[in-house]
Amino acid sequence: MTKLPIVALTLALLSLACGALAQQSINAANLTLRWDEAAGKVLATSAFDPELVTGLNLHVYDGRLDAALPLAVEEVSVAGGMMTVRYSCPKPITIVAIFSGHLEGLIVNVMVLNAGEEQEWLEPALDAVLGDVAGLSVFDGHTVQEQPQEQFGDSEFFGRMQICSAWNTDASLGLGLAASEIRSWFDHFYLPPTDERPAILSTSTRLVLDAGQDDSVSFWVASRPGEWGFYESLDAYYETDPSLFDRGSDVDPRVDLGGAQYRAWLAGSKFSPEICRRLYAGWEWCYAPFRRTGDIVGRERFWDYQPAREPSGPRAYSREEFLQWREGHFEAGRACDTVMGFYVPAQVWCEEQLAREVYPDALVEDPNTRTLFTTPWVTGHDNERLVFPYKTSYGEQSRIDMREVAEELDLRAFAFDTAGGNGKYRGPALPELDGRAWDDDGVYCRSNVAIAHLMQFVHSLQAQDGTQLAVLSNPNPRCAYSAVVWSDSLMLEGEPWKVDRTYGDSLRWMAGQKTLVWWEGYAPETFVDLEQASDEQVAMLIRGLADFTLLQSFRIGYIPPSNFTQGVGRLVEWLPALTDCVTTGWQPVTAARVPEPLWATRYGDGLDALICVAHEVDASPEIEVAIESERFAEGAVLFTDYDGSQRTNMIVDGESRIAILVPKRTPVLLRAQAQVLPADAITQAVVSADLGLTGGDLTLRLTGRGEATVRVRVPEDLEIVSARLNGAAVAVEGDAVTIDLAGEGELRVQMRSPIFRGSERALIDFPFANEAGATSTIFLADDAGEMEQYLAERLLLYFDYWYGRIGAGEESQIPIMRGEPIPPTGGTVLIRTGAPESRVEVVNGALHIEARDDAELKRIFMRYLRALDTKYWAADLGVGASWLRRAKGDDPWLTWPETD
Amino acid sequence: MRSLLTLMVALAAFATMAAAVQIDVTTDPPLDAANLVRNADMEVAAGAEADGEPADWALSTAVPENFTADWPEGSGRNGSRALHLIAHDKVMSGYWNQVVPVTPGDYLFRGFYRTVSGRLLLYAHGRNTEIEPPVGVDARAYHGSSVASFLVPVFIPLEALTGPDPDTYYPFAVKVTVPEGLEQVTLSMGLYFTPGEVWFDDVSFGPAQVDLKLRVSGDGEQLEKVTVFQDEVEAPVYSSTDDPTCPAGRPLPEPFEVTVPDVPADGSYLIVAKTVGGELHRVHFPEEAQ
Repeated sequence: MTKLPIVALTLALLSLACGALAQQSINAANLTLRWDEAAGKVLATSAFDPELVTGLNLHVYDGRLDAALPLAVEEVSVAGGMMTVRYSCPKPITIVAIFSGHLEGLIVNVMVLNAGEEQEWLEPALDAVLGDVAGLSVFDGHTVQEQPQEQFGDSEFFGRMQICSAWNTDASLGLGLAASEIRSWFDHFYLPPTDERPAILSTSTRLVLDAGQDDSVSFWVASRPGEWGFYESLDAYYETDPSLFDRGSDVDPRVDLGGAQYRAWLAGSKFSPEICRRLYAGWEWCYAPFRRTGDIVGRERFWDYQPAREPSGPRAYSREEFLQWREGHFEAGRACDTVMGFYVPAQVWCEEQLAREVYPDALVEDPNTRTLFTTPWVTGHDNERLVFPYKTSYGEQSRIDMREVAEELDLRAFAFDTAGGNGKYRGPALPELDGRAWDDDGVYCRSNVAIAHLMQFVHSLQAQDGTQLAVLSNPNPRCAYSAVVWSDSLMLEGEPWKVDRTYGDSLRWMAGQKTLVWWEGYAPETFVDLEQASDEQVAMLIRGLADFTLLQSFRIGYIPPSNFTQGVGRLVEWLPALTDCVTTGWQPVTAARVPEPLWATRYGDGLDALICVAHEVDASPEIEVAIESERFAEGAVLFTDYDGSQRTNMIVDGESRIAILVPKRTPVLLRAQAQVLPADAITQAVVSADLGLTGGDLTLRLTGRGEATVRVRVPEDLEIVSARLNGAAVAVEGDAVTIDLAGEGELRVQMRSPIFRGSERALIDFPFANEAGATSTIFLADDAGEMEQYLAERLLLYFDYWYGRIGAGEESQIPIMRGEPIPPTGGTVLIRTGAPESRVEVVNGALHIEARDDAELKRIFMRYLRALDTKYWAADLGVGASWLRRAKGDDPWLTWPETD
Repeated sequence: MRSLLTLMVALAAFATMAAAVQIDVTTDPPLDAANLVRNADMEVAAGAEADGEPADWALSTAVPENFTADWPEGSGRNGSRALHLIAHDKVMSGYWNQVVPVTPGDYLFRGFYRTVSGRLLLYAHGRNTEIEPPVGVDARAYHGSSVASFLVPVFIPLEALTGPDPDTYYPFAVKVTVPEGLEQVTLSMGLYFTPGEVWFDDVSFGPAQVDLKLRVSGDGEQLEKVTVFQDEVEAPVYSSTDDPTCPAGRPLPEPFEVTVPDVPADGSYLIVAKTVGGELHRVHFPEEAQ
């Protein structure tokens, strides 16, 4: 938002002058737009159904007059793929709308200039005029209604997506705010047709413009096919602004994994790093690492005060002791190889006295939301007051403080609690704020605007190694959309059964491909009286809850964190696949049809595709899943089970059809292994993959005729060595081979790892240790760095964990030595960086783990540990709670009986 | 429940037939007279609107939007009204409650609940911080069921569950010791940080112990023996054969009157009268006091 003169508006007006109707139409997002000179309107047509949408109209509601603002078209131009329309109105307000394509969306940028002397309250709305509404369904940003006969659209701001959608079987139309918009208010609704007007799907937002002020708001529109309903619109929306629906590319990728749930923060166990690794915990929620809410640094001038309740634990320490304690725990947590997210209550809560006395301009006074906590919460001893951390004294201090603690503790992330954005700010900073709206009580700026800007600020910070700081957040599904847009990885503070089985779905729609995790845990006492229940009843209950967690995690793309997985065998068995799916990226268009009550979910595109099929009924049906490959890849995509087990793919009309038996309470996960182009070159493919750490074969028994190009999935760290069709070598180009089929043929693609060398058995069976103790020695160079030392200690810990914690015996205590290896009496392990090439290899009884640099060394080392896990597998111990100890009985962790 | 508990049993108890024996049972103090709960049967409306709010009961929670609290007709123990509460989420607990005056001593908070799901908390609580040292009470009972959870039966087998039948009212009881210096307590009945649904009816809060007063008339038949059993207690709480005021080998006085002191107010009792002719006459109290 700027004051006059505005460059953008001027440029838009210039473009009008230069390009008036030089072209007649523009095409974007599967829509064709034409200017209807006679009607003075924009005509629109979908490429998938010319009857679905007929026009796109801008109108503006005047909040001051409580009436529509009459708009007159002054000028129109169509040039350079843009349509520009300038409007005038009875007020000194200029409005210019520019329609243009951006990736998979049509962006309608509406620029508004208030050239008058009064503050204006304006509500620009983009209306999609709908033609044929037969069989139409509508999504209002939260709820679907089929064939609505009356106005439809919840007016609720929270828990609602910033887009809506309408669709029939052939086409869909998505409409809403552009993803980058940060607004205090929006609305969508559908109006069914009447005798006077056609049906309308409308989206709007509110602008508050002071005298001489301008603002611009971008709407988003896209048309897609209709088969997958509003998920088609979600897909187009994500692809219009992909960076806003995935973790930031420059933040630490470990935030894609699950949450540690206090296995890293204040954990205190020497085995914490190994527990975190085995449970796929990549980040930690470092809860309230400060003494006084609102003073996250722990400044001397704010240290001494009279809290509402007596501080306890470390918060009762002296300032020096506390800061030392904090630094020590962040350092200990980092050793767990987890991103330590410094908790802040989104900086919207501040200790009451601090808020009132130091930041009075930031106080949020809102009778419709809770503004004061007088019960123990953030620190336990403070009363906390709702404040506004943007363009206020508190907002400025928050930025100073967050930068300071980030530097002091070399943070990689902040963890935003209460990120939902409740509360309307009307304080003294209001005139300076963007994203303002109005209601019956006047102008306000909602807290979600402040939180979104603070999240943007976090992304402007860098760790010492240049990594951009990430935002972990807890927005809850009833949040402002913006809280999710500007987060990198999120939690739902609840279990998969919280409220109902779909409570977490809307958060997934908002998050796109970002990681989501459940939180809390099983809480079996909410289901049964633990004093009455037998141990077997408790076990049955936990197994059921774990199975439900497994299915819902696959269905909607959540990672179960440590409270769900630690000591729970079945979830830990599935964690690698589940984490693979979520980090690959949830896809709204499943493109896999299954009969009800089964459901299917897709992750990834092309050869990264993973498709999960499951159900939640008491049956084990045999069904056929029909995969529409063309929706996410070229040609026919061929699948095996996730572990490479054989599947028969029947290729019919370009679809891959696979017969599967779906057991009770158990998902079936399919993995793409190959693409065949053209799809009709084959009618059947029996595919299996036996690919491990060091390599293996992908085998495709193909039935078809003619020339076909086969692209194959090449897992990370593998490369294709050869390809043979019916035993005869065929040329390999990249990841593809071209073959001629005449009936049946077996294509065998052999792969090998250039890094993990030799036999897989030799690597996995390397004699590190046994029950009697270490049978190997780790050697580091004299000048080995921190990373080499760290990894050596992780290898030591790996076997201490296995023999000590899991085996309940003596820890193996593999020695770590510096210098050249002494002639070994047992195995020798050499870990080093700065090698000419990366390798993990056993040569003459010595295991070499070496790489060119620290990052690569760590990567291949951790990959190697995952491979070792297949031999040294554990779900960790079921010791966290008395009910889990009862459920698991004499087993080390909770197991599943064969018949369950 | 529309009809108040009848406190006096006046049953002509017929055994194998013959003469009628009348067994009257009362308590001192009378149970409903000692009940400090107002609108204990949940039938009275606040104000003139019959379908308005229930008199004397209010919902207490930090997150009102998490709850649906109403007072539907036809949901009570006898098909009339009961307090109803739905918690949509576990984000916050919520309770129907009212405040009652107390004096030091032992009380019993009891009533009936029916629940579909959720963790129930019934508790009597109060604190006086205006005296030194502060005094207070927080006496609780938890109940719950998950039988109506959507996870049952595919993910949670029925045999894994403990808990009440969702169509049946069950009694609850909380013993409360009120200390010196505490003048009132709050009686709360609700859902404790779980989603769920529950109904409450026929609540009482009164002395924890009462005197059981019996009057047994043979109506022409001589009585040989009167015995009082308390449910789940093996030895009788009273037997005329152990009563030194009843000479052995002689019929009991007509009518036979006796007071059994300090029995638990929440107990269920079986009173058995045996005639000289060997006929047994039985009455359950308070179940047959309708």
